[in-house]
Amino acid sequence: MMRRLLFAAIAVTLGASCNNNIQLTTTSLATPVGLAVAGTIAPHLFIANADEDSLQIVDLPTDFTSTRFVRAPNLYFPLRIPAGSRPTRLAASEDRRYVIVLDSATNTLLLVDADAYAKALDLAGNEVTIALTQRGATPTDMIAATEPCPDDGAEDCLARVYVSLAATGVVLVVDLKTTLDAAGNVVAGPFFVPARAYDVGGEPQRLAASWDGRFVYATDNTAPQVVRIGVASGASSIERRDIGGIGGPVAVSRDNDVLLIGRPLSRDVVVMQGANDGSWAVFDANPSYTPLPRCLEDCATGLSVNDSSDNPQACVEPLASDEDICIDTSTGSIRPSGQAPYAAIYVDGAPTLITTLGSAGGHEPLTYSCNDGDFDIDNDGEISEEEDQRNSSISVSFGEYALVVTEGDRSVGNIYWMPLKAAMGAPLTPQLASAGCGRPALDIDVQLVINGGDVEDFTPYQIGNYMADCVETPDRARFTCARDASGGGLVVVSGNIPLLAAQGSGPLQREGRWDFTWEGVLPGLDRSNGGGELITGSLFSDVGLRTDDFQRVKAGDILEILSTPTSAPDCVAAIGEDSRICRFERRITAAVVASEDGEDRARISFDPPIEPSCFLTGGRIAYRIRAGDQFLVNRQGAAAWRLGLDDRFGPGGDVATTEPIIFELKDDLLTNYVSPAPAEGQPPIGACDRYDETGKVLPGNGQNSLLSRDIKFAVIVRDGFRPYLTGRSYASSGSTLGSAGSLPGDILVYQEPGTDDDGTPFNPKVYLTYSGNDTLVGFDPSNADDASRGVPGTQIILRN
Amino acid sequence: MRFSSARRQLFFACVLTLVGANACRRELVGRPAPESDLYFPLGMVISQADQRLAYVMSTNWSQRFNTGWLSVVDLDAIVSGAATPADVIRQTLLVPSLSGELSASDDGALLAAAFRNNNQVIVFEVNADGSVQCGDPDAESGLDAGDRRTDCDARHVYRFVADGVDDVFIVDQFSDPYGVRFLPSRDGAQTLTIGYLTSFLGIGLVTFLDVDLGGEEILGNQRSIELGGASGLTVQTTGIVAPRPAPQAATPEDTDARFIAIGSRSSAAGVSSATIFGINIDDYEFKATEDTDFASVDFDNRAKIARIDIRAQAGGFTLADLVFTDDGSRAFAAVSFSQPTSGSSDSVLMLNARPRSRSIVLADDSIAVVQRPEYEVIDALAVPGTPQSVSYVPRLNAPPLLVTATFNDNALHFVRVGETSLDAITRIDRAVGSGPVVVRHARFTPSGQSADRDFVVITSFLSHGLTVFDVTEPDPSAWQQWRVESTLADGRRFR
Repeated sequence: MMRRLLFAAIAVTLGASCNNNIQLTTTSLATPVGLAVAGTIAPHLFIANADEDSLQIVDLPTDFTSTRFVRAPNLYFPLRIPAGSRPTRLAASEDRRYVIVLDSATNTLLLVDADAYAKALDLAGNEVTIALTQRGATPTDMIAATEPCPDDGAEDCLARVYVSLAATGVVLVVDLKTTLDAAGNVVAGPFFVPARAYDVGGEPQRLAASWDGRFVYATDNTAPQVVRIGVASGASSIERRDIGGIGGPVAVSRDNDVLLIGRPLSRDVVVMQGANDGSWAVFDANPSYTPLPRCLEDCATGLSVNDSSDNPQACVEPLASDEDICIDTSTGSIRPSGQAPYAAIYVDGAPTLITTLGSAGGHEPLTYSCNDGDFDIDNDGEISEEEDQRNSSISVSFGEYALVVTEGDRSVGNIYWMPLKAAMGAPLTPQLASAGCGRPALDIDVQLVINGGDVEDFTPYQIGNYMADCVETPDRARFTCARDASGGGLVVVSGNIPLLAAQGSGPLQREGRWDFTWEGVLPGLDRSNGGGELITGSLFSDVGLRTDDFQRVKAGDILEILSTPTSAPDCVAAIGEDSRICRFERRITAAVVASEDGEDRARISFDPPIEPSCFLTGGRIAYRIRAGDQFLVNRQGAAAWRLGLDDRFGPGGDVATTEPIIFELKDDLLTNYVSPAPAEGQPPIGACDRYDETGKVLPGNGQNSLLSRDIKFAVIVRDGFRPYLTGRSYASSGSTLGSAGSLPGDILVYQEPGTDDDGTPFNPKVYLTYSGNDTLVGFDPSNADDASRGVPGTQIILRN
Repeated sequence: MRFSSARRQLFFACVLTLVGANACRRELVGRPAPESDLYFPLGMVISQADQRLAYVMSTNWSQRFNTGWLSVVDLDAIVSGAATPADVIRQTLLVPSLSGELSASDDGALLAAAFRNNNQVIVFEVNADGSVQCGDPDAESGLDAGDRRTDCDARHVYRFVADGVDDVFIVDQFSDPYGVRFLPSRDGAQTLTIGYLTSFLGIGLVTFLDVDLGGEEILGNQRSIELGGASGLTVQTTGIVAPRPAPQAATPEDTDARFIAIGSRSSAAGVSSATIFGINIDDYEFKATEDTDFASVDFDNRAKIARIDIRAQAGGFTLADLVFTDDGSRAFAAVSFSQPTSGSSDSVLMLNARPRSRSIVLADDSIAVVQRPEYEVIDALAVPGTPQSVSYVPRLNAPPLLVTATFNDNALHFVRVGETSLDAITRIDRAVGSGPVVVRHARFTPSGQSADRDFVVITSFLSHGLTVFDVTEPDPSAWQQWRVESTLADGRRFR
């Protein structure tokens, strides 16, 4: 029986091996990097596997559903074409017959026959290679020329590639040619021949060619510049432009007007316009998102405003986005520092690949959605028509989208969409898609709670009662004033508001909530169940306090005793017959840790003294400690700050310098605040004079009713800047395409010739390799939204 | 082959993970160490003076012998054609088994190594002729039975204590010391920093010891920093300690402060991650023993420490090594034990190590500006096969290299280092021995030649060998290679 089963299994296996339709080939990539589309019989995607020294091949159907690797003869594994020692970059010949392979280990170009799936041989039967220069000279990039390769009578030029050689400062032009006889028959070749060497100096790094074939652009590993090489026939110009940092990947828009250069160190993308004429220069992209300022300098002194040391220093290595601003310490306003404004587009990760979309005519523009949500901007409780109309869109011509792929930080392998021009060709400030249309949309909301219940009538407590108008900021999109109708406002540093809970797909929402409580109870210091013990009349201890909680106690804070006092004679003698609990509220004078019997104990002293016999068991007390004369500000339980009435909140301010909002309280609050300290010649105003038992401010004494302990108000900011979730790729609308990989290898946009049954050109497809986790991603940018819903045919992810 | 045998992986886990340390605690009696051999070599330092010597620590990992040993290896002899260990080992100094990292002081006059089994650190003095000593080899006073078999005296041997500044800890928390580095010296004063492969209850200690060559004990003034616990992070290991080279004076672009990067594996909410802790040791206030109000100071200390989640940046949850360029502007890290299915890869990273100014909030709610590297990833390169170490190799006549050894693949990866880029040049996966671990750079003029050449030296842990490459030429095909290997048959059982 077993033998028969075995025989049957072998027969089935052998039969299967004869079935050409069986699809058992698995993905087996090995550090995939370079990509090219080639093949004259049918187009195929060639993938360079750097750590396997081979190319693999993927079929390119018109949709993704039948995408598969070309099989090896052994059926179960993809075909591998040996390709040197470390193939990294690929380029197709003009007729797509050949794939040119850059072998980075041997500094050699190799040739693969895209139709034969094998190394190409010349007529003499030799492999076709060329050593670019001495090995180790380090070719860092190779691109196919976009201009036609020039023929001459005796030779037919099949392909032209540009190779950057970092060690020699050269961009080398290599042609692939054949020799023809008088009748036009091939008599020799194909063979590589160096056509020209552009000595650009430095260490040329990444390359891009303009689509009209006039220019090749190179970034330089040794200088903060981009090089433009005139390569059109008869031209040989080499020009440089400053880009403010070492450049990485580079790409050209399809209309050749815009040049995009990634800057890995500053994690952003510089946009240049006029790339195809003499006006090329960095364009002010007016970034709508940069990180929070990490170090701000005083406009007057040039020294860090927060450096409270005896010898304050200027900021060291400030972020590029911080250098163009400074703070006016007299007004709290943020001003341009006088340096050139930060004009790059921040992507929060080292940009590694950039490409621009291309499309044949007949495609509808891609829609760049400004779907900001129903933000009640004027805070009147209704979405007005004007507010509703903010859900608009901008059509962007298909060819003028840039895709930026980053690696690192919270955006491992992310794809960023960057619209460059509107559909009608009108200038559009380059920016991140999903960052809101123009200025990010903001919605602020104020909630009031008194004694635990919501207050519907907000009018007396509008934000303007507490907050002054926005501090002055430069007229740049990255700072946005969110102003309440009552005149109060706060500056929001866009894109830095905390995320709501991460969502698997769809645009994310940023929403921050800051809760304000006047003289609020410090976190961990609500000991209403007891724990305190009066040691002397002006000192108490609590062995149950956590160290971190105890550290929050400052001199000037308020000890609010909650235990009911006794009527012990000594107590009555000390305080009289009025034993209301508010009479036992005290100001803390010091909080220290004292060593006692070898153990550290928290000690809190206060003034004026209390007779210990006023409380049971020799002074056992339940208590709370409040922030004295300050607001307690909490942000969604994540952090807490004490805000004095004359403090500035946010970057460059006195507190919460790492929060994404900037505001000042109104002067009125401070000037109208009646300090509990006695005015000269006046008796002190105690707690019983200031608050009732609920914490509400009592009338009289000129007290400010806004500074009442029973009022809690919250400021909620919703930021229209839609960010990108970690490790995912995104469609132009911000919808997720699925998980991305790590260490992006190469990106390629392929536009299949021809049209579908309706006469519409086939959609372009984007292919992307991730060398870190052996992944090939393909997606249709025009239908990318559908991919987030798992629609086959619009996206494919092939992973080992 | 990308993956090696399960046995090797198990063994490797024993080397680098925490279980192994305890499992290997029992020191066997064994036999005397051989005269001139390498045996599970791990730590290695190149001599400072002429760079012709390599100090190689044989860990005696299998404890076949009753000690480990430190060998002084003549690199010039290797590149001149000597083929056996006996031909190239100039001195053998007996030391305890199971050494961790070996490192040298700025001036090369001192070496130091941690010994995982006995929770010790030993200082070695380098003589003018390149030989090394750790005191009276016949001394017995103050030494236990195991240490008496070594060539060190008690002055040079330090055992961790839970006294003084460190009285808040218990002595068992100083177990399994591994990473040892000298801080950049200040006014001639030398300080050692030590990390641990085992972290007791996740507290994640890093310890500092001052060096006093004239003192009764050479190492002392022990003081430690707790990286886990109070930070809310469970720190499982602090095995990689890497001081950033410090400029002698502050400049507008840099600070003269001394920063230490500690590579750790840590976890929060059940997620393991490779984490770099960055400490400005010149702005860290250690607790004085009589200080009873240290809580706020400690709060400030913690606020000043940078904490960078490498897994969030580049994947992987073990930071296998971290080195800096000489000017401190870049750091390079090897990240291993990644999980490709979750979208990450074993890799080498280029990190921005220039200090930045950053505002932090102190315990008293005041704001301070600190300057510290934030270690942003600039570029990364996939290096499958469990990279174990990384070495920055500035070459005389060619662009600098980054060299990393992958333990599981028995391969070396050579990477060209640009200002903001890493570009793989070549990979050598043959004839580098089994289990290549530590990579070092040496530059010297070989005998019979007239010019300096750049060499890369690699220890092979599992095959008890040393491999040397001459990488002077830009063209890898022009590189030469030499290899010596001990043939201690019993020791090959892990291959």
